[in-house]
Order: sequence, then structure tokens, then C-alpha cells
Amino acid sequence: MLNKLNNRIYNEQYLLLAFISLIAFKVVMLPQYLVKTSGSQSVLVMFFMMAIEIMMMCVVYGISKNNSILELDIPKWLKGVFAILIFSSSLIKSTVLGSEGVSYISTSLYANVSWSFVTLALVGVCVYFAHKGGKVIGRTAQIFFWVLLFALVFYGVFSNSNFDFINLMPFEISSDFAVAGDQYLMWFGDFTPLLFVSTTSSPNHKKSNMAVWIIFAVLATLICSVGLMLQFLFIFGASGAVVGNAFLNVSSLNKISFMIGSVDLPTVLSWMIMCVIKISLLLFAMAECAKFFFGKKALVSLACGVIVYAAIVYGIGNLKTSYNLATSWLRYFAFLTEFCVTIAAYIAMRISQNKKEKQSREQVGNNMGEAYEKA
Amino acid sequence: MKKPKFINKKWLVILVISLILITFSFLDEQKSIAARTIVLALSLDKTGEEYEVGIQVLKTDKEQKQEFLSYFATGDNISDIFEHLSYDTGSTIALCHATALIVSQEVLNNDDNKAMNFFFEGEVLCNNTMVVTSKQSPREVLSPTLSNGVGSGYFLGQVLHNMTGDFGIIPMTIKDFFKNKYHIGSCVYLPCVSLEKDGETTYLDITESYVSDGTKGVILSEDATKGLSLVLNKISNGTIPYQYESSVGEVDIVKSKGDIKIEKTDNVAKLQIKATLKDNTYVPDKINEDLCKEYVGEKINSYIKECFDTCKEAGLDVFFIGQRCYAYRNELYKDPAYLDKIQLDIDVKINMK
Repeated sequence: MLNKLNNRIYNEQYLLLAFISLIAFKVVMLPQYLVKTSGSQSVLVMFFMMAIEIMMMCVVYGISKNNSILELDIPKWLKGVFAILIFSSSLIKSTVLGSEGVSYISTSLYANVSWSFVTLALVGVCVYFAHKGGKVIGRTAQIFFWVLLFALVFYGVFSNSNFDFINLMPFEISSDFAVAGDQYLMWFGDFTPLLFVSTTSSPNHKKSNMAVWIIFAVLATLICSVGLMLQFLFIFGASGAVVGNAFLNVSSLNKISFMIGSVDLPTVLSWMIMCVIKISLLLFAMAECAKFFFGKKALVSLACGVIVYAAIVYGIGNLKTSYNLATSWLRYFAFLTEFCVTIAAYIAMRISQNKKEKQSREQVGNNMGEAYEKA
Repeated sequence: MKKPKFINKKWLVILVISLILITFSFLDEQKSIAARTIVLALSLDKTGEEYEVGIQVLKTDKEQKQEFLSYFATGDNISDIFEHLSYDTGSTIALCHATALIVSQEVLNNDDNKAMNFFFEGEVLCNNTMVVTSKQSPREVLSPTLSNGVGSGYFLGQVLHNMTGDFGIIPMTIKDFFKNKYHIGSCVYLPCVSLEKDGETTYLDITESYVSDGTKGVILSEDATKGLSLVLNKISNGTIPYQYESSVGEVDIVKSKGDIKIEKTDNVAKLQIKATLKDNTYVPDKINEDLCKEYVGEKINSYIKECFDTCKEAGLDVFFIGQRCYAYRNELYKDPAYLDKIQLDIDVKINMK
């Protein structure tokens, strides 16, 4: 019961987590990889994949609205299968994406800082959030929402870049589109961690506002992913294939930086928050799956953190290995798991709901029959 | 029985976090800003297989007296050179605030971008760092202190940052330098600086440009540089002089922009210049608006033609016509000699304010 309450979040927090989950790692190295593979078609690849993700997020919300995946009224063995699949997928994703985050911190924010220290700090914080549950992660996201909003507004107001349309042309769809979509599947399909939270209406907000917030969230997601990809292409063109950290490089070109030097603190800060929340969500999914088998102990969450730490520091250790892992066959496993588990969970939930409805209808019919006979 | 509570859980968490942070601060190799040499501008030259890198730094003594100092080091590896420079200056070199990078024509044409890649791909320099080349060696341009008391390298960076939208020189950031390098033709254009002396006065002349494709290059005259800016830059500042009979007139540029389009099956690149101009104080007698437009149009035409012809002769696709062919699905860019087969059709549209 306590666990159920720990993972129950408000709809607004859910939208924020969904936004962060979809955006956080699509604005770092992915734009560079996409430009390298599909050139000017990168925007279309990003748009196509994001559209699929947003649609899938609606399915995830459909489940979360009822209950968290492990609290659904479905057979226990099926929950076990879901838990194993999500644990594996989240482990792969947290290792790959965590490496990207650690690489950014150790190379761009600092110089020559060992991966082991950065990973320890990052995973340490994320394990704490993961153990505390969805409610704490949701609340954290809500608290830092203003930092994200400020960074976005700051960037919008002071953005200074020439839009060179020639970098986007010719407008065509070739086989590169499919190649890029296939090659970088690991960066897409980031929604299973949200299956472990359930949503409820906030007492402070009217129900009618929700539709408006959903529209805002979808627009913000598209602007921050497809919009950034578009701007990245406008600014760097084909040379984007050698430009890492897209969000940092794009945001560093603001009007203020031309006058007094680089002012990228708002963007860096907002991304760091998104990185921590995203990795926390992945570790949270892992911890919830592990707790399904080993019980609700803090040690289980800690063990998940240790596994991710070891995988990042000793298994990967540099961005090139992380890229190789992300583009290996494991990408199919992670991507299919994200989709299949979500769809299977939704179908199982609907079947269970239909059964319940049928039973309750029969029960009502029987009761009415008895009452009629008595009368 | 309730267990005695030795320490509050909240304070325990704070204690653990503090311990981690303090430990990390000792493990971190970051040096404070006081232990770093902030580079204001740098130069890059190459002789044979050896690079020469120069840095300009500002030293301030206790009496607030400012002095611009330059250090130079040579080697076959840029990283090693910076280590050497750190040793010479006595503290770690920090390049993130460098405003200008002066590159020799030798590096632009005979280095296969190896050294430049170090600065860009390695994200060593800020994206806004200005790249220029020089008539003299980069060392000669970087080191002197100008008559206004400012180090020439630093002054160059400051001037170029304020030149955006000017008629003439197009400031080139390292980010744009690489963007252009990745276009078909690999052409880059950058300001060509010259250190001049007039008696006791030392100053920088920044009126010409240099165009290079990585193997060969050509200097554009002041007029050709103006033509380049009319085609490739959004201009919002400057004046265009013209001759009418025996008197000289001048118009101010309010705004001007060029656009090149190529049909799918055509070998004519259609360049359209849209300029909004305003009469200057220098207006010759007996001239009306139409005549003024005609003479200014001719002048603009001549600037652009000079730029295009100079580059075409040197085999340089300065207007990125190959890239535009690709963008408009014209197959001509596949021909190695596409530049010779394409004609430039210039259409100048002037609007007087």
C-alpha cells in the first residue's frame, strides 16, 4: 500500500516526467549521429520517431491512469515476464545513456575528470531518487520545472543564429532515412519507466486544464527535439557530423555570448536536471522490477545502482564503446521491449477490465433476478 | 521498546552528501581561475611539418598596469605545444575566452585541416572565436601592441565581433568556418588582416578577404570583398559610392541580402540582390532616383563580378554554387569542372527609402 502511494503522482508531474523522459538524451549526441547518417533528413527522422513515441506515450498514460503495471489485475507470471524485460531494457538504456551523461560531465563541464567519480556522483543521486519512488521523482521534476522553463525562455529570447536553408535542402526521403531510424533505435522508446507510476488529479488544478497541459507538453516535446534538430542543421549543416553536445553548442550561440562571452549556464543546468531525472527514472524502473522478485528493500535499489555503476565504469568507460553498444543488436531488444511490453500490458489490462465488467454485470443481473423472484 | 535515536535521518543524509562533495573537491584536478592563463587571441602557423602556435595574454600588475604579452612555441603536435606554452606561462592555458585565431595561409592550404580540427572537433575554442588569416606571418600580426595600447590579437577579435552586418569584411567564426568546409567545394572565406605602420602609428588593415578550399587560395581585393558580403552576408550597415558625370555620390545601405537559385536542369545560377538604400549627404546635382539606382546597381554588379571572376579563375567556388546545385537537385555538381560550366546571372533590385 505504501509503495502504491509512493508511486502515485499528479497528472502535471506525469506530463513533466514524460517530457523529460522523451527529451533528455535526444539533444546531446543523437543530433550528431543522425547528421552523420542521414544528413538533411535528420529532421524527418527525428519527427517521425518522436511522433511514434508521443503516440506510445498515450498508451502508457492509458495504463498509468488505472494503476502501475505491477499493481494491475493481471496474472503474476505475466508481471514477472514484464519485470524481467523492463529490467533488462532499462539496464541497457541506463548504461548507454548514463555513459553519454557521464562523458558530457567529465569532458565538457570538467576537464580530465575520471569517469568513476562522475558516475559515482550521478548514480548515487539517482539511486536515492529511484529508491524513494515515483512521487519523489515527480515532485523533483515539478520543483525544477521553473529552471527548465527559464532556460527555454532565455534561449528563445537571446537565440542568435543564422538560418541557412541550403543546409536543409534537398527535401527528399531516401534510404538514409530508414538507415538512421534503424541505427539509432536505442535513443528512442523511452517510456516503460512511467508504467510503474499511477496518476491522479491534482486537487489544485481543474480537470479541464489537463487537455491544455497535454497540448503544451506535446508542443514543447516537439520544439525541444525536432526544433533543436532543425536549428542544429541550420547552424552547423553537414559539419554537425563532428559537433558533439548539440544542445550546448546551439545554446552557446546566443546574443549575450557575443557580447560578454559564453553564457550557457541555464541550458547546462536544465540539462543536468533532466539527466538526473531521466537516469533516476530508469533506475527506478530497474529497482521496481527487482523489488518484484526480491522484496521492497533499500538494498535492492542499491544493488541496481551498483550494477549500472559497474557497467558504465568497467564495461564501457568511453563514449566510443557506448556508441558501439548502443548501435549493436541490443538496440532491437531494447526498442521492441519498450513497445511490446507497453502494448501487451495495455491489452492485458483491457482484458482484465472487461472480465471484471462482465462479472459485475452478471452479478448485477443475478441480484436483480433474485430480487424479482422475491417480489 | 523504542530504539534510542542517535542521529536524525535528515542530518545523516546531509552529512553523507557533504562528505561526498568535500571528497570530490579534493579529487578533482580543476585549477582555480587564478592558476590559469586566459588566452585572448592565438596564432597558428606551419613550416614544413612543424606548427608554431602563439598566444596573447593580458597581465595586470599591482599598480593596475596592463601589459599584453605573447608567447610562442613550436612542435609537430598541437597538444604538446599547449603543454609547452603552459610551462612557459607558468599556469595552465585556458582557450575558452580566446576571441581570435590568426591562421597562416600555409595552414589553410597545406594542412588538410588537421590543426583546425583540433580546435573545432575537440571543442577547445568557443564557437564564436573569430578566424582570420594574415598577409604577414600570424606571429607578426599577433604580437605587437597597437598605437591605442591594445594587443593586436585581442583588438582584432573585438573589432570583428562588432563587424556583423557591415558592408565589406564578413567576420568568420570557427563554427561557420567548418560549416563552409563541409559544403561542396570546401571553400572558406575569411578576413585577411595586414599589420600596417604609418610613422609611429601601428594599426591593422582589415579590408580584404582570403578564400581557400584547403589546397589553394586567393586574396580578394577590397571591392571583391564587398561583392562577397553583398552575396553572402545580411548587410545592415555601410555606404556605396558611385560616380555620376564628374561628381561622386554615396548611398547608405539600410539592408541588403543576396539569394542564389539554380534550376534543376539549367546551368545558370540566378543571383538576386535585394537592397534597401537611403540617399547620403553626398548627392550629385541633376541626379534623379532612377539614375541613382542605375549607377549604384552597376557598382554592385561590378563588386560581385570581380569577386566571382577572381575566385573562378583560381578554381574556387566561393558562392557555394556546387552545394546549391545539390540543394536544387541539379546534377551539375557531380562534374569536377562544374564551376567552368555555370554562369552567374546577377539581378540587382534596389529600393530607395
